[in-house]
Amino acid sequence: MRDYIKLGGILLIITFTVALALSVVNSVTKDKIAQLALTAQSEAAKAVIEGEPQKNTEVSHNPSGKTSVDKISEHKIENGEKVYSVSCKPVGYAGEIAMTVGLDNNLTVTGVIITGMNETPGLGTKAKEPSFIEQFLSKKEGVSVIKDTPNANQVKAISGATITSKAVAKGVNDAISEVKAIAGGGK
Amino acid sequence: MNPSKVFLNGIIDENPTFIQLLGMCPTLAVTTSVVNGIGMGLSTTAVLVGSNLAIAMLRKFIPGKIRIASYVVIIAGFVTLIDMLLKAYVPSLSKSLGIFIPLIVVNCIILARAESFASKNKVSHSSLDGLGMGLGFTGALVIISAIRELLGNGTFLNFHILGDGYQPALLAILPPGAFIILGSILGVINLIKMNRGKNNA
Repeated sequence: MRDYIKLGGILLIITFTVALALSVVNSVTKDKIAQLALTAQSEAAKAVIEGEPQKNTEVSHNPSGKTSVDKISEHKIENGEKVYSVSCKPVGYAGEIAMTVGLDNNLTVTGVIITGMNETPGLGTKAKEPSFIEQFLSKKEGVSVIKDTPNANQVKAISGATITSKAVAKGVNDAISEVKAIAGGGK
Repeated sequence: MNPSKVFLNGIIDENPTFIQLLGMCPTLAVTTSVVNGIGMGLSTTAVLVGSNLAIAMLRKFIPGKIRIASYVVIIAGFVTLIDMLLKAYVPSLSKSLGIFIPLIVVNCIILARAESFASKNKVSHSSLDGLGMGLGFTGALVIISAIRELLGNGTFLNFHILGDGYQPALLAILPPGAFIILGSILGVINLIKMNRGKNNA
């Protein structure tokens, strides 16, 4: 019996010391980490919207069903118009693809940026390249992915990475429909 | 045992990847680019040195019955520490290594060195062993990832080496490439070892 108490006691001392060390490091690094995440997000937002944001507000939304939208921010730009940056996480071939979509007040895409993904190197990761991602510029609601020559509201899939292409398109479509819901259909 | 021998042991004679075949999962998974290989290798080295040092210091204090539990707690502590530091100060590396940092906890190299070396040797030798093993692991990752990145992407450390005309052999970067290249390297090493054995005989 005494043996068990001794063993337990020693294990307790070890875990306690480790936890103490971790809490010290955590208190040093946690602000820095949070700040980095915030900077990354605001930089992504700046990259996808048109115009210089004067006032940024996060808008609450009611996620409907299977939407991949995570956060919507409303930005007031110089001329008083409202534009939106939407961060969403559609599921690709290998987990979630973190991306930010920029929309103007007519719900037209002004920019798409992928901030994180685990897609196959050389195939799915091509989604980041301008030749694919810039296809989404000035697209409207209901973008679809096609393997041949794309028409008006279509984008050409990356060959060998259709699932990734579709996921990015889903992110864009979800972003448009969520913003439409809160903005009341745009103007 | 003399210190330089302890140190070199991990790099060549008992290289954790090529000779002991430990830590195969991270080896195969992260070696898609040299930057990843170096990052994973050095993070593992830091954890190895830290955990070996702590375990050698506590080797008389930790009772045999709960040694594995204690090692796991100590190793997990160091890994979480490194994870937080990388996230705060080297966010780009932390992003590209992603899930592999927390996975260092279950990298068997670390537990193997704790159990077979640090728990039986003095503090100075144990940290030296951790450093040697860690650098041996890093070296192995760099060799594998250099071959994979060069063949599969035409680059080395993200610099284009093979020119624009080179058609990258994607297979090298995909998982099967990892197995094929690791297997080929092991074959070459065994061939060298066999030849050396013949000459000595």
